[in-house]
Amino acid sequence: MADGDRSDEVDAEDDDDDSEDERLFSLDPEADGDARITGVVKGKHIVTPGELVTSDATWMRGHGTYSVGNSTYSSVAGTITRVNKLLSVTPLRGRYVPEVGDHVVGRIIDVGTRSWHVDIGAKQAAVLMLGSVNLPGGVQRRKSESDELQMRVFLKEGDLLNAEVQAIFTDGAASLHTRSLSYGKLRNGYFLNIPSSLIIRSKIHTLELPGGVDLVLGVNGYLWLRKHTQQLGEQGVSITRLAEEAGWEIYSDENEYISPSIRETIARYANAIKALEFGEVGVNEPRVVAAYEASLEFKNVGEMVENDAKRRIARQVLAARS
Amino acid sequence: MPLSLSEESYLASSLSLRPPCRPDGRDQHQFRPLDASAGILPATNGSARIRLCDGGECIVGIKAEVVESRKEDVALVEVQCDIAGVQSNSPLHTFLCTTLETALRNTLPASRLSIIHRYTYKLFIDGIILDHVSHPLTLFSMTVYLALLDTRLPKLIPSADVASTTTSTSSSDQPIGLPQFESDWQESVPLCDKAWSPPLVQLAVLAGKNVFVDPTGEEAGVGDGAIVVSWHQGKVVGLRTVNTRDSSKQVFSASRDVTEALTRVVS
Repeated sequence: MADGDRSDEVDAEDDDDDSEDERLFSLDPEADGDARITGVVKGKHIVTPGELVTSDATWMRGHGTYSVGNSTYSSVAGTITRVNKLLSVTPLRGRYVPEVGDHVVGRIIDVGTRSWHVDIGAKQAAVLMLGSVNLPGGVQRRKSESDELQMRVFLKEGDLLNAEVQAIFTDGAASLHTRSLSYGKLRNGYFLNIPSSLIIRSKIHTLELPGGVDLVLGVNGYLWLRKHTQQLGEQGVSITRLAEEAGWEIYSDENEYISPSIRETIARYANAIKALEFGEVGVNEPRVVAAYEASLEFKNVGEMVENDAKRRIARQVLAARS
Repeated sequence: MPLSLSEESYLASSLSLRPPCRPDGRDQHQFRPLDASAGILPATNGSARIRLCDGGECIVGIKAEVVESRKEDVALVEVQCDIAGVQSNSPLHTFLCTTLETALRNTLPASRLSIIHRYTYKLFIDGIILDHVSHPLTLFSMTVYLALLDTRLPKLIPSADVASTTTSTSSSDQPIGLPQFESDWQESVPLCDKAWSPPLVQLAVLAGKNVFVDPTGEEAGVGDGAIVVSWHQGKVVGLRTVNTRDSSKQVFSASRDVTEALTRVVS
């Protein structure tokens, strides 16, 4: 191929793990810098709307692309992703696109018949079926008619919960479930949201952070900062006894006592995460902790709302990684 | 977007702590950073744009028109605004426009706008709020303030003044004695100077015994109520209480708290 040099360059970039981390939106790790792709897109990973992705007709066109004749063009600004023969462009910005297994934070927007509608920041509201939540009195319990009538007692409009995406309907809407004691209604804390494209997926999205604060890092960019409390599943209760342990308290609206110092720490974390957002730095556990540590130089949490402080924190987080 | 009960109670108790803990850690009297520019619209006498860090954005343009001021009750300032996503006759529009109009009419002396004898300027202040997350009053007022500081009026040619005073005595219906202006915009004079600067209207949220300036949307949502403070040349010139949410809570029974809170805002 004529563009051999370029593909080598791309290979070198991909092999360097650090530089991949520095980029917010990395190419699919499977991509091997095939000259057939990288060559025709001028050796760039990022394309803009209307830019030629490939003029080769053998590629299948996925999301974020359109075609004129044999050529494929990008319809969004984003990075090229390749799965076998399927080319798609993942947008840099835009709404969250749910995937099965994602840990998300959502807000109830509507109580329907036998299901709730949940705002998760996606194109459509997600659906949480009555059968997909832990009902008080045990996991094994069958849902009854009285449960259908008192759905607002469990979750009502405005309530926040964390859940897992169980399935995606054909129209792209997500179906959620909370059938684990690590999911459910959120209490004792503060909500904030950042663009979902900044969230780095990892195995664990419920983080225990220094300072006695937990962070539920929803893949959809919805975040919940709360006082650290022993979750029901952590108290050494065996799986078989979970049934008896899950009582009405999992749907309580009452906060525990939260001390002023914990409230300040929560505010500090919120500002640290906003600083990462300001610097367009991807968010994961080490970075949140690094941002928190960098923020400690500001004695007063309020100083962190200034843009200079945010920039400084973001820069320090990036410097700490290399 | 409604808050969940636990969120609401967390925020409300954080704000009513003494000292309070705002969700973004700000001091009670601390503003968020904003991005402001003036003189952005070439076809106006004065204009400004302010962007807040939460995404709120407001553009204001001011046009001055020469009107005859034979009647005493002619309103010399007219404020209109357009809020994206809100119908044009909503209570929010009325609230914003009348609050600012009142503040301006009460502080702007008519002599500042009068040109010669029968003629005076009338200021048309038009704003558009492109986006707002928190209550738009503070944003709108600050943008109007900046636009007024930027406002320049054309310079009057003095000879016209003399001519009008001599002729207007005979008959007032003749179109003679029209004010003549310098065509050079470089010569224009600013509306505001050391003797007069525009008023500012701020919304402050009350929670418990605390007062917060520049409240975010969620702070206003859980606060017990709000006060609108008009501020002009170092003094508080107007004060009103408003509801920021439809609650049945009786907030202003303890007027002592409000006065105490206010003195802190002023100082």
